[in-house]
Amino acid sequence: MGLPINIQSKTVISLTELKPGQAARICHIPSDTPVGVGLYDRGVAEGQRVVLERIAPFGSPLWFRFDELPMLLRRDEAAAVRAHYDDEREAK
Amino acid sequence: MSSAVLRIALFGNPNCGKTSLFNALTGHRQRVGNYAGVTVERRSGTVRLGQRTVEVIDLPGSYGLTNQSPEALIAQRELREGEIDALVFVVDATLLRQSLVHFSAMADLALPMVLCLNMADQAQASGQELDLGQLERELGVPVIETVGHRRLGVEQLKNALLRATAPRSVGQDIAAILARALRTPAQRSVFAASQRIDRIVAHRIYGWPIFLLLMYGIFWLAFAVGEIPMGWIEAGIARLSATIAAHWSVATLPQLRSLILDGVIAGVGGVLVFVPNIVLLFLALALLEDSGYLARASYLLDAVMQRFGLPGKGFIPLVTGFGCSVPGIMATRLLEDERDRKLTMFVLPLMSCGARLPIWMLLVPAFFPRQWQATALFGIYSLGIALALLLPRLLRRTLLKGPPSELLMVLPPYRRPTLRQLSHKVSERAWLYLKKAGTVILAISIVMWFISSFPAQLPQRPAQESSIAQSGRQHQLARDRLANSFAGKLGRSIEPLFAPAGYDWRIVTALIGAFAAKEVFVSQMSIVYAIDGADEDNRPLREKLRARYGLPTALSLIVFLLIATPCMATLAMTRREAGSWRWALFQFFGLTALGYVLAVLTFQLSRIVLGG
Repeated sequence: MGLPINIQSKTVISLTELKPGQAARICHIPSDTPVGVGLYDRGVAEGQRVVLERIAPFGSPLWFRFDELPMLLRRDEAAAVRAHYDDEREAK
Repeated sequence: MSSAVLRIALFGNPNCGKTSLFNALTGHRQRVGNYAGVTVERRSGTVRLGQRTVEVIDLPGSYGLTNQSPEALIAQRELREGEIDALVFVVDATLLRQSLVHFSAMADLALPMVLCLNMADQAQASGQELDLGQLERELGVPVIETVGHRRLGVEQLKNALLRATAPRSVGQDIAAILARALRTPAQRSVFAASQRIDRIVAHRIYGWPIFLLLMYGIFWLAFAVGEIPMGWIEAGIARLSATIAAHWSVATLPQLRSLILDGVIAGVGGVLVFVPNIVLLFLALALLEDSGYLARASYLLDAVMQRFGLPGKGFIPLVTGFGCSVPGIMATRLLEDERDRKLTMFVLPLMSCGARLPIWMLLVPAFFPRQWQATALFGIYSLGIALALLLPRLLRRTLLKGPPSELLMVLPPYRRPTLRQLSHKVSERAWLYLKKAGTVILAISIVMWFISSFPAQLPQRPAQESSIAQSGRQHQLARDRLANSFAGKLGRSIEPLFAPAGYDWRIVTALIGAFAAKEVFVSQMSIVYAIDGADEDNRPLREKLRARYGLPTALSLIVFLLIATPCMATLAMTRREAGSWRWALFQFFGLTALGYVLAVLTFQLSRIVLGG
């Protein structure tokens, strides 16, 4: 399901477009940015499932779960990470 | 290689329990210092391994070696140049996949290695089953399981170190290797219970009240409860001083007597008096940190604090600063980023500390009509807060340039803090304070005693015999002694410098004394005005001040005392935490320059406005 060939046909979104409770699968982490490197170093990688758990009162940070691991990302940090919906119906 | 091991290093991610494992391994045989010039601590200890004593270095926790944080750079340097003979790669057994992404970088170091799966109890409780033998064969290094905070697996670790080998180069296959070694994956998430707690703690509505309540609890514990043992310490010091004074006649060696009583004992008292605050505050902070709550506080605070160029957790040391800057500076250790720590440290003295309250209590009623007093006090605190929040952005644009640190904060599961870990952390902080800051504070207080007592022919009766002797002559003697001392002379000679701020030599002399501790300003003022009883009701002093100075001077003085010349304990603590005198002196002179400029502006502007 995480095959690159499939990604083409799915709606690619930024992590900031997720709504609380929504899940997606990571398809692109910008590896040349500090945020990208930081995510790889914390064991986050393409193909992992991500859930947006909640958003802090002032709109940032965003509380994600990458597979199991809960992590806080600021809005601008999350914006550069791309994902596609696990289930295309969620896009609606 | 068993006999060749001389130095071993522990490395791992933050939150993997590496330091508690280090404590379990080395017991109390450890040393804590700072890497030069940075806020990062260097921990080392020793352990008996076979027939020999081996040095163990607890490298700063970092997500791998390749990122640009000071922690990673230090770890890298130690591993490459520190003549490390073997490496213990500590990983959180519940997050194997996430932690082992760094395995191949570790393998590239070509050091004999032991892979240590820490928090193995939690991994087992989650239902995860590993084939350790399989993992050992594929990685080419001994693999062991430990529970650092319960001291389990320490013997296995020691034995494994005796057979440590350089790992096989595994390349990118680590995920596949792990998959083969995993007999049963975790059945229950270690985060399941935390998720339930977070639904309340990170709740849109309940989140903030819970946080504020916890903050209030910390503040109350550290400063209200801390007041009690502080009273004991003060009483004990006073009793000691009185006992010596009673048995040591003024006639014999009066200078030495004064040094012991007013220099050394007063100085030791000045050091010890912070210990209850530090112990209680660090107990509270260790509870917050070890339980996992602290990361949740970041979730609530980050957006607010970010606007001011500080990370979310920066809130906690800043609030602590209202009590006292010294534990506040120590609390900057909660922050992950080096520059964040230095910035927060820098602005901390701007939070009006408890020692400045007696000053406000003297000046505000002296110069403000009753209906304006509350507003004035509120204004003082607000000015400090405003500056503390505005300066970081300015400094980031100038001195501490660079992109802001990333948040990317992993939220550890909630854990029950262990008594052993708490007591270790607290006693370590208290000891570091006494050893590293206390000695500096004591030395400076003796210097301060010297410059305010010499050169002066000691009066026939010692000036500060006690408050029982209340003759006017006594106070005049004290006043003359201070006026003729180096401090008094210095005050007089730099008087012109402070004339634009509206101060005379009396104020300047009292300001010099306030470097020892802020509240000393009040007692110094009462000495230069030869008035008794600065502590309780200082009405006569207020009247004298009101008679001599106008409101512009008072405003300017308040501004100066709030911003400029952090006290010597603050200076000593910044030096210890920042790892260098440079940052401490920059803080001291930077804030003093800022305070001076703002005080002059305040004086001049208010003179125009008030027509003085």
